[in-house]
Amino acid sequence: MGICFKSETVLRGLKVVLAGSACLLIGLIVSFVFVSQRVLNIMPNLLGFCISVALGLTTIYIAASVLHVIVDSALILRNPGLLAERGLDICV
Amino acid sequence: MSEAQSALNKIWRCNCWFCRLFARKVLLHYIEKALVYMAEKSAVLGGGVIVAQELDVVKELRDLKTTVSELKSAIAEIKALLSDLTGPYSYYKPREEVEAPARPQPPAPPTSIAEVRAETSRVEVEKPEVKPPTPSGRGLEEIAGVLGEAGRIVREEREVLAGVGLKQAVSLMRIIYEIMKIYPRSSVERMLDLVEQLKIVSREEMSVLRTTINIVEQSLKERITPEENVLLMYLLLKNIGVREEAIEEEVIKSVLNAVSMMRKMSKPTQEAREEKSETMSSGGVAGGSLRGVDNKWENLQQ
Repeated sequence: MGICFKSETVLRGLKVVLAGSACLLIGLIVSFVFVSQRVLNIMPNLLGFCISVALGLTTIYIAASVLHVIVDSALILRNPGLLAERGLDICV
Repeated sequence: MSEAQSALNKIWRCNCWFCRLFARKVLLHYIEKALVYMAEKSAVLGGGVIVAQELDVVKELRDLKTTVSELKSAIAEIKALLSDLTGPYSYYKPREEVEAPARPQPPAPPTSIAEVRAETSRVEVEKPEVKPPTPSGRGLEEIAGVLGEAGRIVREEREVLAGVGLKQAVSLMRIIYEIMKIYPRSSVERMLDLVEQLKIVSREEMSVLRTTINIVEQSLKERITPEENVLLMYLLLKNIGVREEAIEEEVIKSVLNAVSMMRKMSKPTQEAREEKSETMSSGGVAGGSLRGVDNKWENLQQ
């Protein structure tokens, strides 16, 4: 009993992942800028600065994770042959 | 669901927190949608259909194999035929085949017992002479002879082909001379371009045509006749050491033409000279001194 996967559907899923990740990344950066500004406005001292820096580092960590998802999904979308190369049985 | 999971693992190998949280979940949803069970049809129709289809496929494969083997054997036969025809030994006939028609008829069967005995004794005597053991040296000599013969035949064939090519080139040159006298080069080249675009002639033939046109154009500029060109070619070939019968024929023709032209040119001058001498003789003694002067002038001219 053989199985195969429709490449169109898988690619659609990857597109969703790419779009979602991109939106998330943009939102993350915008929110970081906004939040850090607010923090520095509220606490214009060393503590506020430290919180902003910590926020920035966290944002970088999250952004790195999101970015690698974006890159990988974009790679597969640009070259659908990678699906078969990675061992997925694509329906003819 | 295990198939979808394994497929997801194949597509998305990363297992970081973000992938687990977002990417893998989204992808799993879509992979479940994309999953197609190929055996569903067979389960519905029953196993007999698949077996019949497989049998058909096996039959077709066998047919295909037999066809391919037949094609291969046909190609091998064609190759062998081609090699026989194009090989240097294609002109060679074994000595047995050549001498077969000239072989003498066997003698009439003996009628009496005495004749039979005599015949058998003669056969016994002649038997060792009919099939002598061929030494290896003689075999090598025969092979060398055959190879020499084959080489000679190939050389002759090549000479014949070269002769035909040169003859054609000479005739082509003459035709182009006539054409170039009437039409300009641009119109001829336009026609040649059309012929080239239609792929009527090959690239080599086109290059030959263009070279001939160039030669003819230069010759027309320098006032060289086609006969002179042929003579030039003959001289060059002779100096190189190549002898072409076609060129020699053309040279002989052109020389004969030149000789006949010279004779034609010299005939009217001779006739005029004779007429002049006749008029001088009819002039009498008074013209004697004048005649002497004329003779002197003629001698100088000669």
